[in-house]
Amino acid sequence: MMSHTIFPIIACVTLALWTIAFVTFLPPVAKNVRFPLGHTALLLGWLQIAGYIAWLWVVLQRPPLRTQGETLLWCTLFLPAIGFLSDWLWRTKTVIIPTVIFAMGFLIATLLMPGSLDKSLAPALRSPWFAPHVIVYMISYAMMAVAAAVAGWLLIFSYYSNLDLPKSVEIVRRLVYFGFPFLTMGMIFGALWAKVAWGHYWSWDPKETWAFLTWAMYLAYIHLDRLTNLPPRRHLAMVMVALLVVLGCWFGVNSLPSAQMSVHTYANN
Amino acid sequence: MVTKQALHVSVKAITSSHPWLLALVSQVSLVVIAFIIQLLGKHIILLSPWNWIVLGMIILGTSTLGMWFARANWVRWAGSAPFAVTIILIVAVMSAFGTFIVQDPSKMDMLARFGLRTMFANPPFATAILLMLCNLSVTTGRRLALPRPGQIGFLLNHVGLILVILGMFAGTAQFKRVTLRLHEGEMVSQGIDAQGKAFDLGGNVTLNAFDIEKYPPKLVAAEFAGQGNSEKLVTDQDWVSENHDFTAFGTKIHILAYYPMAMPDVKDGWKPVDDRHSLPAVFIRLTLPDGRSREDWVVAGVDSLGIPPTTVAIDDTHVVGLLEPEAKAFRSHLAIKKPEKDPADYVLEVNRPVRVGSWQLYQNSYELKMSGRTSIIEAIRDPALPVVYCGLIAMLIGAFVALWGSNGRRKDFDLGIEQAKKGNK
Repeated sequence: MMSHTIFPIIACVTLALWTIAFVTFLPPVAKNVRFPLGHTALLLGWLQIAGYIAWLWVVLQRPPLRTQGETLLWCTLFLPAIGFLSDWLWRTKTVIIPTVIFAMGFLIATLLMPGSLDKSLAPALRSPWFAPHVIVYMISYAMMAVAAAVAGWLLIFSYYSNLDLPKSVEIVRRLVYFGFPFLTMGMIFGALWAKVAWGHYWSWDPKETWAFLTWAMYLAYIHLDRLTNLPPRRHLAMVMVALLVVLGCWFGVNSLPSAQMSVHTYANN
Repeated sequence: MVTKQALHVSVKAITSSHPWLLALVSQVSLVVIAFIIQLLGKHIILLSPWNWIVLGMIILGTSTLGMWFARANWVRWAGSAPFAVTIILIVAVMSAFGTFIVQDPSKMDMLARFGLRTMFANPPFATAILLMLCNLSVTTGRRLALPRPGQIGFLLNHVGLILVILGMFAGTAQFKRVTLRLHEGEMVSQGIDAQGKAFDLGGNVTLNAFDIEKYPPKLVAAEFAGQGNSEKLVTDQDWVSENHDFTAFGTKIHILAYYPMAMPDVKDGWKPVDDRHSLPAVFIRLTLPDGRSREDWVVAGVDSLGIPPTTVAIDDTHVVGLLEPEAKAFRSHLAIKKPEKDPADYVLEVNRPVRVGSWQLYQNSYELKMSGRTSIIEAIRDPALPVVYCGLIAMLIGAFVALWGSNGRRKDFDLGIEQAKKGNK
């Protein structure tokens, strides 16, 4: 019999590991402690989540990307990876702390709202486009979530410390610029899939429209960033507002009355 | 008399002093004008090839203006951040409204009178998209005249989006969606659109058979809470299988036998058969909290056929039942006869369309009745699809190029801002 009995154990162990990682990443902790202990704890937790997702994929005999709980789990997987990669690529410690906090938040949310382990997959979801479309979206959502978390972090600290805000804003900008192509890819993959499944690539369905809104928000941000001298605080605030649209698309749109007629109702658990 | 110099100075003054206000006022005004035209009931519908010609001329015209007058103030403004961001936000706000209000052309209320029930097919939204198209074309033309680093990614993304909007816009006039309702053994050569008009498919389509592949059913234990039919499902979401156990309300439920296709049998209760009109049946043993046990059959019902499920009572308030199996796939086995060709067999299912001439067939839905099965198929013709696909591919490559360039973009930003500052001087 399948059940969620394994997940709470995995989640609790991962939370414990990531708490250790989080503490070691805090500024007072010495660098020689951070590297072996913090990164190892982060990696071990990450491997557990990756292993659980792989196990789910095998046991459910379908990509574990159908329910909101399952997609949250993917974001939990991508968040620390983004933190680790930015740490390694851009030599910055600004990203890793918010990503660990966000990842732990997502993990707790998944733990509190366990979805059913249902093997069934609606005929429309039985497509080679399913996994790439959702995974690419989850990567972009994780990137944007990290960008917003870092933006919030910087915005708060800018009032209490002598932070070099224009330099710090560059990290947020890079995260959005990395996430936006994935957002575009997700939308295009969705359009190509919709054509094969329903005969039209775009039908202004509420979910599709909110996917467009999300894309439009970041598109507006990129235009403002590239073509105007946006003040750093406004820059950070805009990234945080854009994440609200992402959350609206991910969770909120299903509550709209118009969504009751939507063809994208698979995410309802 | 207004001299050329005076005009130049006043355009420069307006576009550079209040570019945001100018963008907002001009764009909102045009959308409002389109809204008034809509209220007056004046619709302009351009049929093919005029839709392509007009849109092509708009794109070519605006991009040529962008190229030739790249340094002119009004062109710079039409391709500027204020213009682009304002129109993106106007389209976004209108789109959001389209999701807050249920889009239903059949509704005839006050919202429908203002066109808010068909938001995405109305002149105000079309005007906003057209303004976006103009902005994209002007910017692309300007960029071709004044190259900058990151040119390839920029052009791929902008030209891609121009093509997608062109294909969507021009394609709307030629896009056709018709429905085929086919009973098993029936043949059709025409589809019917939403207005009841028949369209020739360019071939005969026969439904030889329609089959549904289903997942195994799920066993549930339900508690009737209070009056009426309100119930709380306590269930294992796993599919049923023989020798499967689960516990609900202190009662152990053991599955002794499972027949995916079963028919009632006088002697044994239910027996396995090979008949698509059959029902899934499960033979279970209930072991109650006091140790007593009994065995009985649980059978799934079929909602569409009005067959109720057969449940087993645990006690006065709890029952065990079998949920109707969910569809895994549904397939139409078709024979398609094209003119001057032999009939060929095709299997049509969701995510696997079939082409008949200029039409593409999609498995849409089905109806199950005692009298037989009906497959509901949609035939779609969209001549503008290649244009949209070219645009999507360009945007996809543009996304990869942008991703590749993301890491070292800082240098470009500085350069871009510096150039913009120089341009404004």
